[in-house]
Amino acid sequence: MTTLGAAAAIARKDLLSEIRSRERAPAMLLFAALVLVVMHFAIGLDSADRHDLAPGVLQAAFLFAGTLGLYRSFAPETDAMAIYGLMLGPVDRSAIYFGKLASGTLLLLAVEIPVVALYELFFRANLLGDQPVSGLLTLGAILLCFSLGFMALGTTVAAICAATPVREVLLPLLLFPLSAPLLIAGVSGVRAAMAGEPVWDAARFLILAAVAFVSVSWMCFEFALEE
Amino acid sequence: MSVPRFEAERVTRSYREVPVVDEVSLAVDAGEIVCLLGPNGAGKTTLIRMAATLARPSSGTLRYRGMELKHATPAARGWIGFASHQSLLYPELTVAENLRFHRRLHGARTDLAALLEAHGLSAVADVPARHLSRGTAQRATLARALLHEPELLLLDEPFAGLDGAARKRLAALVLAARERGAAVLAATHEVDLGLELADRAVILHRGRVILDDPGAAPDTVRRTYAEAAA
Repeated sequence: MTTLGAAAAIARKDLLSEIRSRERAPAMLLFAALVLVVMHFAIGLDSADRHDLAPGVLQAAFLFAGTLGLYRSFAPETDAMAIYGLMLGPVDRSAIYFGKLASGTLLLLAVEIPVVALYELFFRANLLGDQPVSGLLTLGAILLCFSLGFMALGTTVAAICAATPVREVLLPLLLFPLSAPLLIAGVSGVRAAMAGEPVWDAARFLILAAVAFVSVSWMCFEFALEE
Repeated sequence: MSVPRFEAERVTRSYREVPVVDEVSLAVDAGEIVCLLGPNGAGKTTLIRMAATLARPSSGTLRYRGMELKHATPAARGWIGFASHQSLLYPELTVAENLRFHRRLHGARTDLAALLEAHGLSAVADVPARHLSRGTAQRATLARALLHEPELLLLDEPFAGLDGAARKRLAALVLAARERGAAVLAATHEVDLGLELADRAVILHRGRVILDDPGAAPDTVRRTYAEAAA
């Protein structure tokens, strides 16, 4: 089996496990919604601010929800040490990384879509601007790039933390500082998408970050698994 | 002189400068069951994990059919089957889904129905792994380890927590793998069970081999083990 085929099988297995257990996605969605509520009361999302603050509030909600999802991303592998079964597969072990990256990105996107809809529904922030179709497409592209970059980084950090007894503390301590550039580019990308301005600069940065994180992870993921 | 199926030569694994496995050398031939005996902390699990390519030795050489494992391609892992006291199954997937996933990962063409039948799992094929009893989960674990017909079967305390009937059934499956020509290296701290199953017993104590004598009488093995465990 090819690395790509094995990665697809692993991603499919992860998503099937999630559909059965409903362990991560509902918690991520609820948590992201709670972040919106907390932000509403903390900084007062009154009508004047809703539009301007939306990019930062949304990206913060996605960052927290994504981190929550990453806490349990390796749980199916470590609860009964099924990770050994994966590591013994006769394929490059980077397939595990790419499988986890794919399932994590899809899961985060599946959470981001209803959260954006909730924000629009409750705060009427006009997130898509005057041209809803192109606004939707550009916003979707930015969210895809952000999710890919965040999960490219988070998957390896989660693999490193999964083997430690203090993973709950260690994961955000490692992940938040490292993902700061993604957060900044994500906020600027969403702001540009909402304003109907070109998003290429932010998208390019997010894609480059994703490529860099994937490259580094590709090199060190097997070591992280073994140690 | 034939090349052993699996060979460890002066293998050491240290954690923070403390050797957990210390200059261990042993060989397992095709169609042979070698039982790795030792009390808790003897280094059995670490040695099995290194043999399974799940951990790297600090020094020394592991060979499969004379080829160094560190030079082996990922495809070479298809030679290895691994089962432990942990199920290695995905709890939310059914038994059949677990086996199907691993069959796909290994690119094996095993008849799933026949595999389930051979391991007494047909009745629970559609049951999620989290609902299985300990004995049934362990049979499913062995089915997963054997589905690609590995030439080297590595077992880490596979009988832990099983009752008498489940142990007999599992032992029969391990013996069947040996009949097929697989080399089997099984770690356990249960001496009588190990002696009953194995062609040869190797005793580890504090990371070192203290007995590896094919001609050792069972009483000698028991006495040596008792001294090590004391």
